Amino acid sequence: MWNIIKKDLLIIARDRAELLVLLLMPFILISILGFALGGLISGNQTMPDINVALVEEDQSETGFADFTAHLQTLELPEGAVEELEASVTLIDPIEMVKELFENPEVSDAIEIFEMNRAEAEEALAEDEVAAMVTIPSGYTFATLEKMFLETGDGSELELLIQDFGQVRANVIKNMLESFVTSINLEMALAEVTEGESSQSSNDRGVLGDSEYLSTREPVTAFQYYTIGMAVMFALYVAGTISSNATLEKETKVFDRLMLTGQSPLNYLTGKMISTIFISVIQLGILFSLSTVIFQTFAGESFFFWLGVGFIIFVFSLSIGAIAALLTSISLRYNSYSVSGVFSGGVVTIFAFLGGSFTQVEQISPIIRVLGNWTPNGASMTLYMQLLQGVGWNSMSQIVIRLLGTTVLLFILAIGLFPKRRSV
Amino acid sequence: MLEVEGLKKKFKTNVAVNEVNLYLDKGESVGLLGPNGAGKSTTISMISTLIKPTAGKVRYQGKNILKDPNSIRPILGVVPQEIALYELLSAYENVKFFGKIYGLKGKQLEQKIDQVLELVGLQDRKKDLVKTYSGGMKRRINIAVALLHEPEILIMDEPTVGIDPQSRSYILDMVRKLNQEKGMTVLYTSHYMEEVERLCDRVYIMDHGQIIASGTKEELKSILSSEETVLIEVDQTSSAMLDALNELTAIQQVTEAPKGYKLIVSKGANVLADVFSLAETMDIKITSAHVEVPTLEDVFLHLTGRKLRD
Repeated sequence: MWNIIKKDLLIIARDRAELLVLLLMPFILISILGFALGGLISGNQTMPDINVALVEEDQSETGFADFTAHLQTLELPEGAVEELEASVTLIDPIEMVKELFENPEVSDAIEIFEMNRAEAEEALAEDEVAAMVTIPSGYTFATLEKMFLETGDGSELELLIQDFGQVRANVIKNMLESFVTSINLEMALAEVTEGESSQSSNDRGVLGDSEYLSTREPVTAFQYYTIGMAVMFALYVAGTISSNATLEKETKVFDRLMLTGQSPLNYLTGKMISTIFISVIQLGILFSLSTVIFQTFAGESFFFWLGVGFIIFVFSLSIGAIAALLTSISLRYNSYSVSGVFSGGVVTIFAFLGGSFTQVEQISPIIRVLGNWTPNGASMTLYMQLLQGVGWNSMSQIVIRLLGTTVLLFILAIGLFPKRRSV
Repeated sequence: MLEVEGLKKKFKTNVAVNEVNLYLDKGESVGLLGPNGAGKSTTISMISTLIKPTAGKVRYQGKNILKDPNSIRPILGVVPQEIALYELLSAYENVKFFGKIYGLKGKQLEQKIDQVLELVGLQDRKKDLVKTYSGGMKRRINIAVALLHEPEILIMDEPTVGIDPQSRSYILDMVRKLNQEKGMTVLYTSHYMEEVERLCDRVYIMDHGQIIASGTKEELKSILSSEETVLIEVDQTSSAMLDALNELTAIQQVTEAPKGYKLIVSKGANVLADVFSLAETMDIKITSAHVEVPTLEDVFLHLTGRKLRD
């Protein structure tokens, strides 16, 4: 097996035209798109429709009851408890968050879907929603405690962002920040106008904050296009390997291999493993080169690179399975047209759907969904999630889907591989 | 040793090979002679177990190998008509790759590589990429790969197509050496009559998917024992002369030859006087005339009415 892999690697390494397509072309495109479209990725885009999942893990009634009970345990002046209890009924922190999204200006751009945490995580992983806002358990109590008693750490809204570029992420992030700031300001002003305190608003305890689980910087154009071009050009490896297999058939090298007693399955597996090796090397070179020259992923943690390596491996497996399938079809029909159509047409369509050229969710959410079913699109989503610091739990669904597709394609390849002696 | 019985291959409506029967004895060198498209390659692909026949049997030592292809593959060395090599690998890398695929390892592999490269005379160019080789050199490496595992039967499909005379001669000498010195059984297909005549003990002549004649070279030539080939050269050829020659009853067949005509005549028939007289009346000067010893080419012409390379 290693003999076949070594041979395929040598042939690719000595084929200048192939090296040009597999390494130089993507690198040139990364350079051009990274420099030229940097501004576009960084902003000034039309605001897209944004779906947001709202996860409500707290209940107002429970929060009020806990707060009222808490008041009873405090040594407050006579009548203060009654006064606070009356004031509390005028404010519902959960409703305030919901009202924020119901604001007509906001609701034009953002649509809220109330879900439980599991549903929201799934929707986020499937890219059905761009963000997940969670009102955590104890939010009402923590808000009221901070607001009326100035004790406690304040409340936190959780925001989990799933976005490639900056636009959607910034809209939601800014909106929540504005919300928190305005509430804090209102609280400070209320106190000043009542003359109850000489403390500046800065010294006052603020209501709380929004916690960003995705605390990373937005994806840069270089990062976006390094990933986009890498996953696109990795598809060409499959086309190249199947085209080489057709050449082997045409020149009777394939017959020669069969005469040595090689089984067709061994041959097909060899092709798949060669593709995986070449694809891993290609992706590794592109990511490394982009980082060394453009500082694309400079400063990323060891775990980030570990994640990159893992995604490269999983993605390369699927490229290997595609190569096996194309090889089977090419040998079955004894034609170069299969790899030609794949490299000349299917790769471009897959690359578009997968978002290699542009953020397709801005064009149509359906395209995005379709793109996520392509190996390159799914891998691109994984890379973006990794960049955004999304947890492995959310990413695992896509990984499983990618692995499932790989197995399915390879089984199909075995089924379509021409039977010995009828070739 | 190897028997082929009623072999047939049909591709949709086209019958490429029909009812082919042949045999090879151990240590023999057998030729399969026929023009392009005669069905030679399809026949040897079926014998090599690479193509499944529509009908027929191939027996090796009495056992039908079509049911168990792996029983014969280790003893077969197949040299395809195509250059079945990786052009971007060197000769050494190619031979080593296939050697490993054949299961050779370590010192044994290196020894075999040296042996076959020595045999095909490419030791000194072994590190060069195959794509830089001449057609003849490529053909020699193509053969070297088939010899790596020391096969008992060597099947060669037109191994000298498109190469220079020196390389052709080198290859023919090599095949003769393998057959005569190493006792390798050879099945050699070609449309070059002179190659088959030079190399083979027995010959099968194939045309339109069928064996039309077979036997030793002498047996085949005896088909023409009742005929002679007369070659006349003239100062100018013309279709009128060709037609006139065809009209002569003593002449069985006339074809154009370089600078003149090739006549197949009944043995002992005195046609020269008639031919000279005809030339004189047509104001054509005969520059030479001689009677030829029959060749396999003549046999093929006699059997099919066509030349091998038509």
